[in-house]
Amino acid sequence: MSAPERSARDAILAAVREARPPAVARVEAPIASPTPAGNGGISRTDAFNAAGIAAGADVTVCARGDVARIVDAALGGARSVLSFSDVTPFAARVVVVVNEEDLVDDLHAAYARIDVRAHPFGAFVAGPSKTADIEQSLVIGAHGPKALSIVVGRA
Amino acid sequence: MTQRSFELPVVGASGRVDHPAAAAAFNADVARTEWHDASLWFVREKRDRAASTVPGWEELRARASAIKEHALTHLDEYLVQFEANATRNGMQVHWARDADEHNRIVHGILSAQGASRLVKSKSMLTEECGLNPYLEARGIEVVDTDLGERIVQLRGEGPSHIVMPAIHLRKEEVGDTFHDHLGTPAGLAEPNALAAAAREHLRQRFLAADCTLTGINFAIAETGGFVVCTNEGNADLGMALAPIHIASVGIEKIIPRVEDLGVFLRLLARSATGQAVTAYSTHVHGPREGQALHVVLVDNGRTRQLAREEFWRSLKCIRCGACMNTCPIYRRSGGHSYGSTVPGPIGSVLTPGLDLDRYATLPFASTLCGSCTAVCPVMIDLDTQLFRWRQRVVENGHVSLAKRASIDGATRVLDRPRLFRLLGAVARIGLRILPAPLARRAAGVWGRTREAPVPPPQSFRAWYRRHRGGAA
Ligand code: SF4
Repeated sequence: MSAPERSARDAILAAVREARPPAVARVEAPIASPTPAGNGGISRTDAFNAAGIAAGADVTVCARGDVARIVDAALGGARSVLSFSDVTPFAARVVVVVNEEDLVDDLHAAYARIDVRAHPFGAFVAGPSKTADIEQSLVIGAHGPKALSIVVGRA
Repeated sequence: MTQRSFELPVVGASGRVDHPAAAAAFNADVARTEWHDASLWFVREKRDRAASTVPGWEELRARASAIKEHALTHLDEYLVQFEANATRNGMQVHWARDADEHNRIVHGILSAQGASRLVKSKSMLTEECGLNPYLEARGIEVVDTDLGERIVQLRGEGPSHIVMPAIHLRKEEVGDTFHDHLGTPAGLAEPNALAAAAREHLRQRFLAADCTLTGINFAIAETGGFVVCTNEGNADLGMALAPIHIASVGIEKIIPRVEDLGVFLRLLARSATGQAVTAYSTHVHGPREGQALHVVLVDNGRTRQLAREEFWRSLKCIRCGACMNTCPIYRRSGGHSYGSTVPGPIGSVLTPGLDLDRYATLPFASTLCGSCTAVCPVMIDLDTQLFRWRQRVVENGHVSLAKRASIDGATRVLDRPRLFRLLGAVARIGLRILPAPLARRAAGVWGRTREAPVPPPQSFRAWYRRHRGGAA
């Protein structure tokens, strides 16, 4: 770090210490999630499937695979896939294969299971690349993949 | 720094931002105002539907608010922790006190590597710092790759919304811009076709770039990593291709732990656009093989805001834009009318902290209805903070002479019960005998678009005397 940057660092930290409002205690982050039973008996796979279709991803339950983990599949929740592959942004079409037992209820459960530190790059991918920047019209394939398919592997 | 699409008189002769004048100019185009209003309300309704499907939504908001308050009240510790862990992950961490230092650091990184072609994903911080003109003046080609950002960049404008930068433009206007700059056929205004043209144009820039710059949504102290959220995947594309990655971040974006992300990511996209989650939520914990990764931590007024007992909670903001989409003033005045990188309710709370005199009209760009506070995913009491800024504005003498005179006049009248009663009687008679246009003129701005009320036959005081007489 250069000398001016070091003095900037020290000045900012000093200003933060000076400014510090009265301490607010730490809180636990995850909130209780509806269990699959709480989803009205719908399985995680079904919930994921329904959410995936709503998001524009096609979800297929078939062969076993081991590419990624699927998260936030609570009914009405998000559906997304964690991909540690940095080729996903280039491909025109992305297919992800997931083990059914890797489906979890929501993002809280996902973060509890994965170690984001383990890879320099990891993205939750929740659908094809999209934009609504022109008059709020949804356009698929702004930059990256124009389609996302998810294959859920069942043993 | 940037021009506006339809010139709004944002900055008055005094060098101050004149929100009422700029809003009036925006409103002169009635069709655009109505369409703008409806577009944003549509996004607000999507947000409501998304929020209502999440069990425990209010609990999530409360957690998010508490996590941010904890982080901000221990910010020095978490900044140091982030710096140590990020360095361990192979990132180079830089510190900038203000916009100028930030811009010089970014330029320094580029010139040290002889880089001259920069692709950017969305970063409101670099807009705030005026990075693009700074680099362009030094011979760097800067390409914004978010579609909305690219549209406004080609037009020489700034973003009018922090999530939807081109929300103020019709598709025909985008078509004209692309015709001029990208050579699309004249009259082409179909969004899919325009986006496809932009995709091709930007692909080439991505492939040619020797540096990418992204914003950061969340910087994680515990791991020294960060998260960038986009729908287009443009940040991912830049990061995967360019040999240098610079990530600029305001110091308030630090969160303590990875598990906190579960809370914020569940709130962010739902609040912003009504999606369950952004298409790409990308976690970065180090450079790619052979890549240089720099993080620039920027203060630029944030420690001053943190020191303000009444306003430090505004730093909880996660930049979802929900307060803009719901704001009746923002929806009908357009983002450019605020003359501030971040417009809308949160902009009107943050920006006066930089220069109260220049931005004195912004805290008044509100009905104080509280809709912003009701939707804010981190529970910032925006309407209360706007109201407090108004008090600071008046205390510090930053109001116009006319407003000052009417406040003083009202104070004098309200202090003197006799005078108040007398003027009440005069007004009741006046309203009855004056022709309507004159009565409306007398009501000032308020009367401009309203009918004068029908005066009651007597004052409330007289009515009370008659009906509840003796008790008083
Ligand atoms: S103040 Fe709240 S609602 Fe407004 S942009 Fe920030 S987080 Fe969103």
